[in-house]
Amino acid sequence: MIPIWLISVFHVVSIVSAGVVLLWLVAAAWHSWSERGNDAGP
Amino acid sequence: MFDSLLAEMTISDRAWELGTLAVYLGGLLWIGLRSAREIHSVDDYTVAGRGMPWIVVLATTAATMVGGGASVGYVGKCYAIGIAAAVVTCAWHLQLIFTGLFLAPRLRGLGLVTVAQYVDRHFGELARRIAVVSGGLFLVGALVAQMAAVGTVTEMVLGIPGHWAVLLGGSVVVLYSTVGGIRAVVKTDVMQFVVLVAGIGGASAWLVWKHGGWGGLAAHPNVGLDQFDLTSTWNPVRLATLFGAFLLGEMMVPPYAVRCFIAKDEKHARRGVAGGGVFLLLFLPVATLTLGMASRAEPAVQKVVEAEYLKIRDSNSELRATELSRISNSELRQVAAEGHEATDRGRAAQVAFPALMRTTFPPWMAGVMIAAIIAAVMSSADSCLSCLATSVMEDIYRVHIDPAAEDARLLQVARWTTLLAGVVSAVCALVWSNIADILEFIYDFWAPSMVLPFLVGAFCYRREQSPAVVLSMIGGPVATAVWRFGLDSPFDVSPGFFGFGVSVLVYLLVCPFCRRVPENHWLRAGGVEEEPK
Repeated sequence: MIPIWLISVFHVVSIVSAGVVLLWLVAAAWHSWSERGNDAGP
Repeated sequence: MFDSLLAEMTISDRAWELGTLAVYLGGLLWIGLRSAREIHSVDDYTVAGRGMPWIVVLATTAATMVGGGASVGYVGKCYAIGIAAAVVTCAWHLQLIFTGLFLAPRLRGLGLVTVAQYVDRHFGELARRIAVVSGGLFLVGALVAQMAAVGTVTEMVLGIPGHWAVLLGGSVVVLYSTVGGIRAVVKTDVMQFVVLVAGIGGASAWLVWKHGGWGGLAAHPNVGLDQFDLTSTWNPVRLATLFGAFLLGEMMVPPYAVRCFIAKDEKHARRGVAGGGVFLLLFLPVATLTLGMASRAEPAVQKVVEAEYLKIRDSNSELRATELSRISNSELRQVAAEGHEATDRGRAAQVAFPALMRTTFPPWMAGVMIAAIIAAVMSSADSCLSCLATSVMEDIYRVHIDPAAEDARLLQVARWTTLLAGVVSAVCALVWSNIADILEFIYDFWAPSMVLPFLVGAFCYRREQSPAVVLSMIGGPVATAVWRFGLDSPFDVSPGFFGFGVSVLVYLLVCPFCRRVPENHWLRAGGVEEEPK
């Protein structure tokens, strides 16, 4: 039997990890987009 | 499948769902077709110019890993049997972590394009040919199964006839994969990953909050603490062999190997693939368990699943009655009847996830969730399609038909193969009814033929051992076939798991006799020097 409190902890970790990875992707996309903008030059 | 639910929906609800899906498919096409502008060489088409950063490798690996089975299938399994289903899926993610940490940097360092090239460099031409056949069978089967899943899932979720869904979803996948190659696949995978994680993660958080936390959900009369007992439905042997089969069944399959090849360098390959495994391990098992348990707690979902069960039971009733009538012993007949009921209830539980979306969420959010489900299936189909085209172009056309072919010609071959394979697989998906069986069959044969060469190549490689590895690549699948078809998989041990064991045994038995580097053309390794930096 897996204790319910352990599942609660894993669930919080699950949601936090999803948030972190999505934010990381957004940051990477933003970084790549801004770099491309700079490369294009004036 | 849920005719009653669909009938209860208003036209505006339906418009929201279909509108969200149309926007999603349009977005995929737009991203995919734009990628064509970045295709200047075969390398761009097959390995995205080997320039992907680790976060993109992570997203595309995770999107490829999560197909229809890992999402809709395993939410249904959690609904039917509880936490054990979520625990066995951890094996998929552990396998990715292992691949990322130990194999991905090595694969990336060799500068390869296909799995067969890795085998050729380590174990020679005969092993390469076995790898081409094994990889080809796996990809064709997986592609047809995923195309069929596009139809099944869309029909189940939206009520659109399956053949129209295959034609629509398949056309979108084939079009962007043909035009943009792996670049289009990776970019659309990232979009599919975002939709998938946001949809499933958001839904699981909201559902637990709605039920007053995990304590409230577990205390629900339809859930109960039994659902959190690992061995309440599956015995420990079944649990362990399923875990083992999942661990080996998809190890280093071509779609994951390509994720190693496209990374910027070894470090990005390791972080991307292993990171994808770590993320999925933390995210997916708990999320699918949450959705499964929340489905149990919703009376409307239970009603839909029960109706589905009755439908399946009635459609199989004649066949089942004939099967039972052949069993003379009444106790055995009773056991067989219970087995049939469990199988039918398991199949019916597949509608739990889409039914939960439809009954619990407002239409616009249900639309996003439905897009997430379809994203899961499409991202696996496009990877198989791209890998198949690359294998035909690199392992067959470039090696056997025109070794001196120029880039433009190879690009043409890869594009035509993608288009042709996509169309043929969609047609097969329309006419082939036993897709699940075919998929299971193909998964059983991958590990016994291909996992050992990868492990030997990475951890204990010696050139003189290629005959032992080649024999293990033949012995493993033969043992799998005997275990599966001759003995009907006794003791609940999966054929793939047994076949892998035999391949290891053959390797260990033959190794002591391999003392000299083979001179024979078929067994002579191609060399494992890393590509110049």
